[in-house]
Amino acid sequence: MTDIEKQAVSESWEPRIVAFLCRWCSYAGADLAGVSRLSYPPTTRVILVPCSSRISSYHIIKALMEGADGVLVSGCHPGDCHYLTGNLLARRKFIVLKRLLNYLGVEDARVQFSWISASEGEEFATLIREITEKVRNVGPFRGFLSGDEENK
Amino acid sequence: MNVPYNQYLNETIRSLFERETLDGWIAYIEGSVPLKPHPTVFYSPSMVKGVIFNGFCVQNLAKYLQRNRDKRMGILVKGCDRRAIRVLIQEKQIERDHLFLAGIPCPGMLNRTQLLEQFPKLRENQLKEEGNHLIIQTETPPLELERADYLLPTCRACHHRTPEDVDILLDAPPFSAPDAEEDYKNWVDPIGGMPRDQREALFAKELSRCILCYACRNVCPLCYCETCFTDSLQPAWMTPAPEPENIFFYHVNRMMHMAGRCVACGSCEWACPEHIPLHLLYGKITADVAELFSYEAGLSETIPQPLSHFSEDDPDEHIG
Repeated sequence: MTDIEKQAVSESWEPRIVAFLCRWCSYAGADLAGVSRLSYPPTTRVILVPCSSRISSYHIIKALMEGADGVLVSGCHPGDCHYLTGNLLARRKFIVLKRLLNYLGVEDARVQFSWISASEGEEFATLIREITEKVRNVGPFRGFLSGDEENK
Repeated sequence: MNVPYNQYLNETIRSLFERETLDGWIAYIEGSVPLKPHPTVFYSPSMVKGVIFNGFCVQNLAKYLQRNRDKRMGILVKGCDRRAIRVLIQEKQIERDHLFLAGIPCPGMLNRTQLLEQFPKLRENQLKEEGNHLIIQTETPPLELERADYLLPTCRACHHRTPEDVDILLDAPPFSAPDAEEDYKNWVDPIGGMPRDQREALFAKELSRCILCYACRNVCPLCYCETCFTDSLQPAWMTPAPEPENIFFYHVNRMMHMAGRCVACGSCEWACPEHIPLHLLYGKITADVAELFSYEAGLSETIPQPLSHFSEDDPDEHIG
């Protein structure tokens, strides 16, 4: 990025974050945040999913491919899954994915996971504030495997 | 053993084929491409001829079991073929009762690319494998090399060369290399320790050569989905255009499918026309699964695969 572009980015750019929220906990948590009139940055695009384990690496990478700057996947706390074990299976899948993405040079802030329960409206608002800040710090997503441009 | 090893193999396979009344036998014959033996299926004992085994028999033969799942097949197995077969049995793709496994104590496979780069004119008949040495006969005088220096990366990290739980263990080939000391961590950790932009640049450089030919998927013994996500049109996850985003999508998702299943046979890297160091990818997955879940693929049919299973005290360092 040139300095002018950087400046333009810093002034007008807002991160776009795709949030996959589980139907039973995190979506209800987000609902509670709204009903409680808590304010948090309007950076997330929420997608309702039945369970955090519904989300695979396909959805996360596809979201980034299609223009998201960050992805959040949130589900029930361990032990609270409506399907009993969905979030526990998801936890294993996500740690492998997160480590692989990190290894391939994707910033840690781009893909994030959390547990939010239906009663945690305040926590949800705080989480969105935090991840918005983290994604803002790493800047707009420039696409995968883009690191080689300077060497060409 | 006084007869040459390949002759011994042909004779043994023919007699086992007859004795076990099998429907077919999978082994390697000489290929049309230099230093790439060709996998083949024999359908009668009298067809068995030209079977070879040398340091280039990398391709995993377990790939050919599924399409012959109704038949009683004999197969030549190295350590990694045996492990792939175990994963296939675990996933209920093939049945152990249908198989006759003839194990070969694997001498470790050679890096074809490395040898051809150094000796472009090298062909099978000009390379002799003896004990721990390679004798290159294109050079005058013939050059003697250490076999261990030319092993494939994946074979250097392999600790399961001799197949276990086979129906018959054949004589070891008259060439070998000392058992490996290395681990996938030896390659993966230095990269993991690099700054992020360097890692991104490294993989951008290596993976941008990918032409999405799917050779790595097609050769993989454990990639057997009828419709691969790459070919799915509804939803269309990716297009076949070799653009960075499609390449990234393909490799990351394929690796996610291999997590806890990959037996690190190295067939994908062997098949890659662009010589992409895929061991850096499956090595990472293998090392992570070993570290996080203490699991190595293909060693047991009864222990569930790590990603189809969970424990209540799994690591949660990644949950914010």
